[in-house]
Amino acid sequence: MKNNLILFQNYIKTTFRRMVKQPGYTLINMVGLTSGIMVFLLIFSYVAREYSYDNSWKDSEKIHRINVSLNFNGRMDPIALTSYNIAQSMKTAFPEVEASTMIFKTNVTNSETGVTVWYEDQMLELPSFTYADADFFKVFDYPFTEGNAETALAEPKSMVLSTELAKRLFDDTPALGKMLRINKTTYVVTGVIDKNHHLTHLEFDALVSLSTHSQKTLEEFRSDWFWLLGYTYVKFNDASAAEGFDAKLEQFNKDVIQPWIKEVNVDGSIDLSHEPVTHIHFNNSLQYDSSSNVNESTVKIFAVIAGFLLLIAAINYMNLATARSVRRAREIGIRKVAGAHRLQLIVQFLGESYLLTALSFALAWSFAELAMPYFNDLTGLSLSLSDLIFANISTFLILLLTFLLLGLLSGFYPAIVLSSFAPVKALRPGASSGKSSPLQLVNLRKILVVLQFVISTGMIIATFIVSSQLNFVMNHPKGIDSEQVMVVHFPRDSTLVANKNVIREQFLALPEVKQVSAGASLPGYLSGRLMFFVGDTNKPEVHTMNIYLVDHEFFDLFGIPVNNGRVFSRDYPNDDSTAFVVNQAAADYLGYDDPLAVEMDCGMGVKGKIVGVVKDFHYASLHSPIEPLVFILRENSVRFLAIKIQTTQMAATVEKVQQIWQEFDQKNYFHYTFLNDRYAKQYLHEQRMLTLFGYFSLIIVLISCLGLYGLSAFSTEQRTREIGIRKVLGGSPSSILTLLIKGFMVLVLIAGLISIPIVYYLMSEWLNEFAFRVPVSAFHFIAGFMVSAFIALATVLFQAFKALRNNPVDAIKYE
Amino acid sequence: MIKAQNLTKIFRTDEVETTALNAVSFEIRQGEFVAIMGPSGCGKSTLLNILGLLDNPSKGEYHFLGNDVSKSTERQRAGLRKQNIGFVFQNFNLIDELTVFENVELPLIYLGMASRDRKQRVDEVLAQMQISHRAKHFPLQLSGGQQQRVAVARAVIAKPALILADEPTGNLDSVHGEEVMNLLSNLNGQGITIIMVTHSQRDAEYSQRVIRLFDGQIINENIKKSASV
Repeated sequence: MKNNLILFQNYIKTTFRRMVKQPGYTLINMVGLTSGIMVFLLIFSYVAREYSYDNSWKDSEKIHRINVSLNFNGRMDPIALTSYNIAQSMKTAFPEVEASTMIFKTNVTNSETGVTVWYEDQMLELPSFTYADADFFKVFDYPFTEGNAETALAEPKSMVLSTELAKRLFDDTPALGKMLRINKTTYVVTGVIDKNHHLTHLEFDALVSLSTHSQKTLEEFRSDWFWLLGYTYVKFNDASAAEGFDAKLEQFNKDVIQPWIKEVNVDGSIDLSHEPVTHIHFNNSLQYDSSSNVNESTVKIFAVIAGFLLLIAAINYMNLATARSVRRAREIGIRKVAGAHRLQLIVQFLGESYLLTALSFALAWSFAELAMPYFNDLTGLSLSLSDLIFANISTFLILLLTFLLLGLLSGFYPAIVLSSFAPVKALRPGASSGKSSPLQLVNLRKILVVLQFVISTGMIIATFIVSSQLNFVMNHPKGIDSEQVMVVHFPRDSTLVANKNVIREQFLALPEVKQVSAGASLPGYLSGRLMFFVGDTNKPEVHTMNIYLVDHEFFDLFGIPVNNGRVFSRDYPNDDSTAFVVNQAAADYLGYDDPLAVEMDCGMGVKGKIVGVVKDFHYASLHSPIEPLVFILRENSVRFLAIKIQTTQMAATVEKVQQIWQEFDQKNYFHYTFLNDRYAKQYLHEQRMLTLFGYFSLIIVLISCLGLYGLSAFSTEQRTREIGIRKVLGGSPSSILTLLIKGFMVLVLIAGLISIPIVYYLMSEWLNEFAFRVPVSAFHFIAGFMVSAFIALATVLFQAFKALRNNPVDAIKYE
Repeated sequence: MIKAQNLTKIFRTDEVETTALNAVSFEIRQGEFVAIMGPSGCGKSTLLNILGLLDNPSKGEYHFLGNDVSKSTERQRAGLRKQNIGFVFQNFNLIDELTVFENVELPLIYLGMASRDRKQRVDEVLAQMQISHRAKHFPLQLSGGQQQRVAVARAVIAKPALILADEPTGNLDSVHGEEVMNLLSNLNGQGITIIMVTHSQRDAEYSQRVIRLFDGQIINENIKKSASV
């Protein structure tokens, strides 16, 4: 044991001295490993975070969400929401449900507008508030810093704040018992919770007791099993209860909901299902789900990239170590002659790779900590490396395992190869190796270089494809005029709504303002959805379609062309109760020969004919196809003012608009945005992905090229004598250059060819997320390959030129 | 101590078969100083490698200290080697990253000797080789003669019964060469068996017996009465 320790000391000593003595080699290895591990750590922190959503709840395996699927006319809409009745039934009809809760947001369509709150005479703003019933904390165990879980939401008009919000509103004074006024309702703060304790799909800033709603409103909620209001969660008394729960839901549907559907004479159905809370974050199949949900395949892509980074860094190490075996052969021979047996040498070489890996890990950790703020900027997340590792034993173990695997992967092959050298051959002057023939080593190195360049060329091509797709979606014609449209968020304030026309006139008086439209719906924002009874009033078809609540100016402002009929007009005073305008997709979906003859009833006091069909435009992102859309004239539902501006002095115009607005409203914060920015925001995820892909490609290429640089240096060094002889015999510089770079470039070419089908498959899968997408074309592959080949060429040329400059006389004396 | 019977070594490549040693037989007794001579490619180094347990013969028997080692595994050979044999090479073969002290110490580490004993032993041998003042230097900071003295120190550190020297003066000038030959001769005087491969007639003069090889066969054995030290 003691002897092993002494041997180990001896190895460490030799390794350190060699590292210092050969700074170039050390640098290439360290830079490669360190940058690979650094980016791995950054990505790992992101991936680990994504996989930890909703895992920290007490008994998280017992918590499930109830989802529904609405089925009308063969169309199925899976939705993350349920009706109030379904939520209430969870509390009473299922003995295996220990607790259940319902939450719903006050505003699902517009997340940018805050809620203005008054504390005494101070005006403040909450980002949003969410209704939750009294049992919320029985399901979700948030720790309370003030108040308690049992009583916090028991009474009407109770409000629970997050610690951040409480601090923002009340500084360091206790929040409990403070009164906050929103519109005309006053709430009392009954609790403050540490929201950051759990990483969850739940999105809320402040919770308000559901019982705040009047009895009348609650009765309305109860009247309709189809009215999908909010999210319902159940906590089973035992995790195994979830298994048979589907059948119970189906029975409940049969016994309770279907008779009601029959009673109200609706031709459709609703299916209930449940999903574990831990699955929600990666489930993108449901409508109206949490906006924090992500596509698991994206996370997996990043995890794979992280793995590739380590692999490439390990390959560099392996390649350089085996390429340098010529130089190490003598040492191995000496050690063997001095009495070392093979296992001791394997331990020595593995020790070297672990030492270097450990050093690189330590360096990479420091660099990753430094880079984390920039990474957070890029991803829009707030990740912390140390929090991640020390908060969770499994992430710590994964990292430890990664370290062990990386050391082994880097060192194992060189250890086996180098330790196999026969001392007789190793000690001969100019010896190369023993049992493993140089040919085998060279071939393996070639395979590894190809593997590196498959990955790096693939990453470059993928970056080109992501960039093309992003460019495509950003510049794809939306079908509307969205240039210079300023969107002012309209508070829920009846006085302001009453003044809407006056405000509008004031804006129109500005010479830069061309048109103003006030409505509850805007392109680029989430639309509402309604059930429509279409056709024969005795036996109507039921369809669910998206709705836009608009004013008369909407179509004009956005320049939406009319395909058939007309849009809403002041010439028809009953349009708000008797007319619908639909988009072409809705007309096609309904399938009538003459859409203008179709009668519809949407249950919002509008019953009448479709009076016009407008041309389709992209009102949502290009991820989804253009869905059927019904426009309803609703002059008094105002959530946005869209202001069409024509000016080169945008900043000054915005200021003027703000001044006018503030003449009418001093009680609310002024929020505005530009419609094109809002559209662009829909692709924020892809924009971030592109930036990250760009950086990762760069680093992968850099690490691969470092390896290539090192390899070409050694290969050139080994051929110094050959180059010298060729020069003496009259070889031209170009023929020698070709000789030196040809081998490497063939490898890069092979790698390019191998990467084509892999990247084609993976990127086609990714592009499938978009309803509208660019085709994966030869251009992407050629461009990606050219970039990769150019960088590789530059790398090996550098070494080749160096070799060419050498004096042939020195070269021939070599050895 | 050494008994070789019909030692044959054949090297094969895809197309060529070379017989480096062809049925060589001889004996070497404990305490002898034997020189092996012959032209380049005659099989001298191949023979030395087999004698030093660095390689196995293709055919024939090799008895070392009474054991037939011709078919031993690498591990068995390593065990015997580190206990009994010291090597001196033409190109010194020191590890550049280890100091003089550490290079000399290496066989003792592989033998598992305790730290204090090791230090004492290395100090003794360095003093004996008159290289103590260079203990902390690295090989590349020494002259060729000094490096070979370090190599000899390393060869004797484990008190081997046998020292194999492959052209020990081949890379040295005559003054340093003589120094090294004197060292070897002294060691022989202390009872260590020495087998030396050399081209140099002058170096061979130090030995008690010369084995001449030609095309893998022994063509001549000259036995001298005493070493001409």
